[in-house]
Amino acid sequence: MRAAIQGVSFLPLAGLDGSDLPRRSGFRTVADPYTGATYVAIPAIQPDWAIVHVQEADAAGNARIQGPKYDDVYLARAARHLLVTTERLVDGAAFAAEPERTDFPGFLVDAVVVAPRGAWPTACPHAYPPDEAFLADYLAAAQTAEGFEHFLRGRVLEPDVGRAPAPAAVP
Amino acid sequence: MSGAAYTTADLMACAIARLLRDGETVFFGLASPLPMLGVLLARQTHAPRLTALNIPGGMGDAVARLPRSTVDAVLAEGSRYLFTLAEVFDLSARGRLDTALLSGVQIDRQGRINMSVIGDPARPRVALPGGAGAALLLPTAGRTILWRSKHDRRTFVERLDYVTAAGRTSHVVTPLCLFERRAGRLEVASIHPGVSVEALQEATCWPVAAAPETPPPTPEELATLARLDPDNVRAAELG
Repeated sequence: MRAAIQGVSFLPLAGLDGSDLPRRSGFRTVADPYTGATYVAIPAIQPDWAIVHVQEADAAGNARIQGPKYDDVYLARAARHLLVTTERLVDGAAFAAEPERTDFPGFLVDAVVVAPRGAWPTACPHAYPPDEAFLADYLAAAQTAEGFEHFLRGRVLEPDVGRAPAPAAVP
Repeated sequence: MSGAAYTTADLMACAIARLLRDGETVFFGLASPLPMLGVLLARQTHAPRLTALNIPGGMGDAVARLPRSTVDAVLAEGSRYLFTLAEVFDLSARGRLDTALLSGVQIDRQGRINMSVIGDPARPRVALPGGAGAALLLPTAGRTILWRSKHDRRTFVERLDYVTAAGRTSHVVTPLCLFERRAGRLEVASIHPGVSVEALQEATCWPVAAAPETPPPTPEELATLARLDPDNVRAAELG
């Protein structure tokens, strides 16, 4: 992703010594032009779309994550297009007050979708924990193809999905 | 000698904790309840200045209760920084990560791991979850402590079906013993109470020798484990 972010077709990587992965993945090596050291040349990955869920966005597309960011900023920068889903829409003044907290500047965002509980049934830090009961039911149902189909129809595609009574919010 | 009851999970968490050094930088990743607990235990006992890095980005001083998932954001609550996974890899690549805690489906006597496929790589029988960064961390972190919730001949093999990662493995913690790598080969450093050297040999594809008994958990360690993990999340891996 960093290669895609920097507009190059590969980046050298330190490490991977002794692993079968580079060879079997068809990765090539490059010689460091300054020192002669050998690095694995990792090809760029450029997604067409990245979709990230945030807690806050404004109508201009500026968006920010509260809490751990995981790999979201890398994903968003590497992709050709970015869709942001947000727990809530807030006034632009909130972003102007703390611009250093903006993770996704509006000019890089293709669209914003207001989607409260959009991360459900997984967690959204500072909003809600994972819905462990739902996930347990899903894991049990998904042991078979029929079970999964039944689950999908009855518990996912039906109306009002995601608006199940919210567990206590994570502070 | 205390007669307090303890589980294999308790012993393994203690074995991991005891290997960690105060002031060092340590990382654990996905699906790692035992290392997560080992790190927490170390911080509450002999290693209060341990820097604990993970996928959510840090470990607050007051992590009250072990979450079920080792990527749960709750782990980072109270942390004064959030250090992303990408930063952890960078740190290791430039030689500043002291210890990585990793696992593998197959482990060989040189401490190399397979997390990629079972069977002929060209036509595998089983596709495994993948390396999850181990290929980068194992050769670059100062040392790697491996842990494994199973100890049998399909796990501790003579020859890996695929070498996902190789590098500076220093120890392996298993339900039966603690291995230490000496002169490039895993040797038995201690055997857990109640495990015979014959049983250990039955479960391992390379020669093992008698070794001192692994010290059981102390009352202080057990009390700390009970406080940190009242729901016994640590037992899930060994079920």
